[in-house]
Amino acid sequence: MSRSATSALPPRFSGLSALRFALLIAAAALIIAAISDVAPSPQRLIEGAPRMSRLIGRMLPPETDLDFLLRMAGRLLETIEIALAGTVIGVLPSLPVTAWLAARGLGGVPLVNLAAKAFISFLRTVPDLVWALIFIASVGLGAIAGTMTIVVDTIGFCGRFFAEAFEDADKAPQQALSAIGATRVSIMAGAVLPAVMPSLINTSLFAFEKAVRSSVVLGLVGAGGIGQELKVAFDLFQYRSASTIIIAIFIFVFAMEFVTDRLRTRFS
Amino acid sequence: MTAISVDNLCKTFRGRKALNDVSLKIEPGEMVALIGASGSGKSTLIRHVAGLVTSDTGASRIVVNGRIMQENGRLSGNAQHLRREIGVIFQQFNLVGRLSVMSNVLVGLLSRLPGWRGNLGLFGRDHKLTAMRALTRVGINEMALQRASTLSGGQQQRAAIARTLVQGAQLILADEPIASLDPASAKRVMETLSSINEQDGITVVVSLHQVEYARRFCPRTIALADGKIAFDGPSEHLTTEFLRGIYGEASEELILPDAPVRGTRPAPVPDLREPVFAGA
Repeated sequence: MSRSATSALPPRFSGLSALRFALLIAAAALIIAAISDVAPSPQRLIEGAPRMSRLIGRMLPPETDLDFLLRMAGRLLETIEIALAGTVIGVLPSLPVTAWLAARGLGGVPLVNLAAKAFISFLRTVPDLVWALIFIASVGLGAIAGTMTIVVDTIGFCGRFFAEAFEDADKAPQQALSAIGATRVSIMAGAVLPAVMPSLINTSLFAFEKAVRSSVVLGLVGAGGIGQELKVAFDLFQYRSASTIIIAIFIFVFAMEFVTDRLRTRFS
Repeated sequence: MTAISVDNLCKTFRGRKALNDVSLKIEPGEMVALIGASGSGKSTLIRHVAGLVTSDTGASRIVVNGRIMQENGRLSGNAQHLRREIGVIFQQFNLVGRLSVMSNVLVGLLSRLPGWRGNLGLFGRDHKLTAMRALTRVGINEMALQRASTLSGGQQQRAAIARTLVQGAQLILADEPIASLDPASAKRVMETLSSINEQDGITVVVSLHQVEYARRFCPRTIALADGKIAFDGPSEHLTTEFLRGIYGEASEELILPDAPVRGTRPAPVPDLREPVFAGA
């Protein structure tokens, strides 16, 4: 470390080339244009406020008819079934496939890995509502389409994070096992899986949490569950029913997050 | 049959010769220290013998227990099989921290069991007794059911030694096993290695940073300098003067325990005429 190097201050804007400057300006222009095009203006907000309060007025008090409540409870049960079945069916194939790919990755073919990763990101990047529309078109309206959507979504999510967990697993015990002549499968079973288990459980619980939220929304496009009832209630202007459903959804999602949080602390 | 026989081993890393024409023979039942300054090629040599890396492609050969591990820069076809007879111990212990000490030791049996059984963790009573004996041997049987990560460094290293015992290895390669341990734990680990060498006749090759441990625990020492064998003989011949002769200034890191005490010097006065930026 020479003295001349320590006493000179680095230039303040070290890499501000003409190109970078132009890109910064372009980004700023884009942000300003976006806000002025689609963000609500104060005037629109003020105009909307009375309508909003009228809507809330028509939502109150929430519908408490017993028949209606029982029907909603059934729909809520269907929602949780969609989330649960979809997550489990999605996690089950993700685990061996990513583990197998990771084991190959220890000395395997990059092309297979690349293809699998591309497929998994395709599943993940197409939004769940789009998958739901596709499955409704193929298997019809209802909970089955919702479950299939959750399965695909879960594979996309778990496929990525399981693979990352396997790749980030501590290499030292793996090396120890390979040094004593263990096979790849033994290395996976003896060193990798035990090390990444908390991360796998964590990811699966997050997948379930995500599935709970999307199973509520999926009903809006007709894929079963409580969301479908909410859509119907709004379409028929039954705002009191809608508010009951919204409260139920809130309690439901909140309770599920509480449960997964508890499970997470329990397993980490 | 020699335990390890290395002929004309060369390894080049980015144009630098990490190992330069190394040849050596180690007989069964020996306990050999491998010493040398950082970067002298100790670990590289051990990793070659363990078959974890391959040499340069010139004519060379490494034979372990009478069978070829690698030849002319290519790993032998049965290297994976041969590795099962070699116990390897690492500086960082390389245990699975979340598993119990017992499970970590049982892993040593993986290559001896039919695949599905070991992989599913279906170890029988016999296996567990074998593991317990090994743990008793290294003196940590009371920690058998604790998670490996809760053990101290020295205890973890002894668990790693127990793993090689369960494995039934006739040769143990220990790569800097005590480099990250405190002196008391280091001593325990060296004593454990020394006792399984004496009592079970297991060949032990251990790379060390400090020559004191070599003198104390290993009858024979091989000293590496710049990838070449600079000394191979009885450890008591390694005098401080001799090490100075081989390593010059670098010998200081090898002989810390009895290095002469340096005179105190006044702390250097910082030059305040020019501003100095911290961290620059």
